[in-house]
Amino acid sequence: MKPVELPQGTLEMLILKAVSLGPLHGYGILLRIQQISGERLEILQGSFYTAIYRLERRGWIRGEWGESENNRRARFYSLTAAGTRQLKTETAKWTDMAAVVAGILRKKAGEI
Amino acid sequence: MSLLAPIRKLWHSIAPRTHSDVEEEFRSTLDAYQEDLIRQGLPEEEARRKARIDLGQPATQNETYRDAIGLRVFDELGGDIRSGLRALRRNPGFAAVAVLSLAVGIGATTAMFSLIYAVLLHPFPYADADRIMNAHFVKTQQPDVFQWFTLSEAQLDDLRLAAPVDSVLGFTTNGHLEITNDGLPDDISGVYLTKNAETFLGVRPLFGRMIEPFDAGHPVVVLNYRFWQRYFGGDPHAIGRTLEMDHAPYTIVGVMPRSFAFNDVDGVGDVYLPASLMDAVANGPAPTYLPWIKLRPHVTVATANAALDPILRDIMKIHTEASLAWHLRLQPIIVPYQQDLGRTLALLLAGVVLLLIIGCANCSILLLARGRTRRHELAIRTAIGASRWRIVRQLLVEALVISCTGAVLGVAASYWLARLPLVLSRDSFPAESVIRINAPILAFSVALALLCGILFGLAPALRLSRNDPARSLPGRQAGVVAAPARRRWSVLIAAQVALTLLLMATAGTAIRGFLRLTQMPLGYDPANVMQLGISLHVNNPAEWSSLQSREARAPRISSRSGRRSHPSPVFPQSLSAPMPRRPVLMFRPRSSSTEVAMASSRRLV
Repeated sequence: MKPVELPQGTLEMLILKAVSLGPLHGYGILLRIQQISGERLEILQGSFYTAIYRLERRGWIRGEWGESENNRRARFYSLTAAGTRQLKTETAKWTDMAAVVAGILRKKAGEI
Repeated sequence: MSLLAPIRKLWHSIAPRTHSDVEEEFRSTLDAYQEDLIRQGLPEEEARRKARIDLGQPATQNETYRDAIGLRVFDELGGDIRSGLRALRRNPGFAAVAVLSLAVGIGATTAMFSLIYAVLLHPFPYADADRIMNAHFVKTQQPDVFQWFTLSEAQLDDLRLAAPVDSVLGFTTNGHLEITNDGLPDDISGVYLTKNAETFLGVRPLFGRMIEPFDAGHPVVVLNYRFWQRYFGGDPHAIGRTLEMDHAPYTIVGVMPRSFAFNDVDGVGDVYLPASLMDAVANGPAPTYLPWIKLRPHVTVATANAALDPILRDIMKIHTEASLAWHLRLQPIIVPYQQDLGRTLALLLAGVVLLLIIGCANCSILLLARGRTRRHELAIRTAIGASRWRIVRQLLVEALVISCTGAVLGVAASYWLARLPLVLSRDSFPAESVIRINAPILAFSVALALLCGILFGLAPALRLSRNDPARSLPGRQAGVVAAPARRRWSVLIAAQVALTLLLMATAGTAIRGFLRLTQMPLGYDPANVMQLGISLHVNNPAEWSSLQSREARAPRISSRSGRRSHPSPVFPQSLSAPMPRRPVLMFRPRSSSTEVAMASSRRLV
């Protein structure tokens, strides 16, 4: 299957979702997103950490130093209360938008 | 530590993570990814390369971080400032000329502003000084003719009841007192203040206290700062000691701060005494006082004038036909200075502002001239992707670096410059005004520096940023100034010459004004006229006439006259309180030598 390209601004939403399932370090977030998407998302770009920094700055995720599975020091991110709320609104917005767009695209000539 | 803590806290809230923190995290991700790639079968070197291509370099990660949290603008500005400072260091000659020409302008302007601030905006230390009014009667037909008036204690009390009046201070014009402690008798001036002096003036004494209502009848004295410095050498233990004046002991209860120089009407008093002691001094009618009227808040001077005129006529019982030609005029205590100094200061301010504009034009020309040598650098910047705005910003920041350096030097210089007019002409300024560099003045000079930087930096920045890299990159040797640039130069140079001429004209006008002052006719020929002041504290006519007869016998004096007060050129003293005064002898020695005059006066005394 061809890899999917992410629309602008959705990366942050995906990171929030990945972190909501449990604290993760940066690379872990990457892996989890790829894993959930069935290896179809290509997000190994410089924009990944920019998104992480921005989310932390806004107070939606919180980073703490800890120990990774292979005994390496790593920074683990977890969702804050504000982040949980944000994820909820973003999800609702996304579902709404996707439904509307999909609905429009599904329309055939006779249905309008 | 405690001082740095808030700064550190602020810094932490701006950039919560340190450089190494960001880099360490990124490295750990990079390593984990690299290991994964090796596990997938890539050779180590290849895995390392791919990891860095996919994720980026650890060295630039901090930049990504600061960009993400919105600090990039500050980083770029910091870089611009650093490059501006480096450019200044590289061209010390250019830097010195540009910075100095601005430093002179900014220094002079700041000095003028601090002078105006101290003299015209905030000269007095008194509480609510803007509500304190001088009061006098003005001839309606000739507003220049005015008369001070004095009121007795009872009349002051009546005046205090008037609606627009908040409070009234009564004081005497200063009378001469003689210190009769040990040593040489010293002639000093004393000002008697009504018992509400402390609350009316609201100035915190340096030591001890001001005259209080409970001092009534007690021989206490409060010292003026300068007198305290002169007579007691600034000894803080002077409080409680006894000062003997005119053979009567007074207890020193306070020393006023330096800024307190009450009052300007008739010279600053050396000592302040409770008015209740006046009865003992004046062996004539009830003592009277000049009033300072403090109006209630939000009462305009015009309203107060209208309301107080009939009240004062009633109080003073003046209802004669002749008195109708006069009307009351209240005047904020600052007004005499504004009238005397306002024009001069405005002229001086115009002069220094011109100086500053000339300095700015200077810097503009210098920047344009230097810009030619910088074309190459700017062209490279443009070629590798700097926007025009980015280049304008860099050039503006460099200009601001120059103007701020100039401002720092200028403010340092203005610290001394601002004192100059006070040293040159002490009497023209309110004695209370203390020139110091304070927050409003610093704010003024910072604003001035920014304004100057933009003023002289903008034109060269816009000009240089309009740079076609294709044209200027290969030909670094291009030595010919393009025609539009040359026109701009001539405009700048012409403007500079015009401003210099204008400045010289202003200076000429100012100097002519001062010269006219020194040549003002006095009404008598001052050549060889000597003045000799002799203190006679007991109003003893016998002593006065004996002095006159001894003086009449003194040799080598061609003519003489005597008057029983010292000259006060500013205000007529027609109605001031009956106070012991110092007689002044004016005499003209036959020979013009001062030596002779001195000898004569020594014989006389």
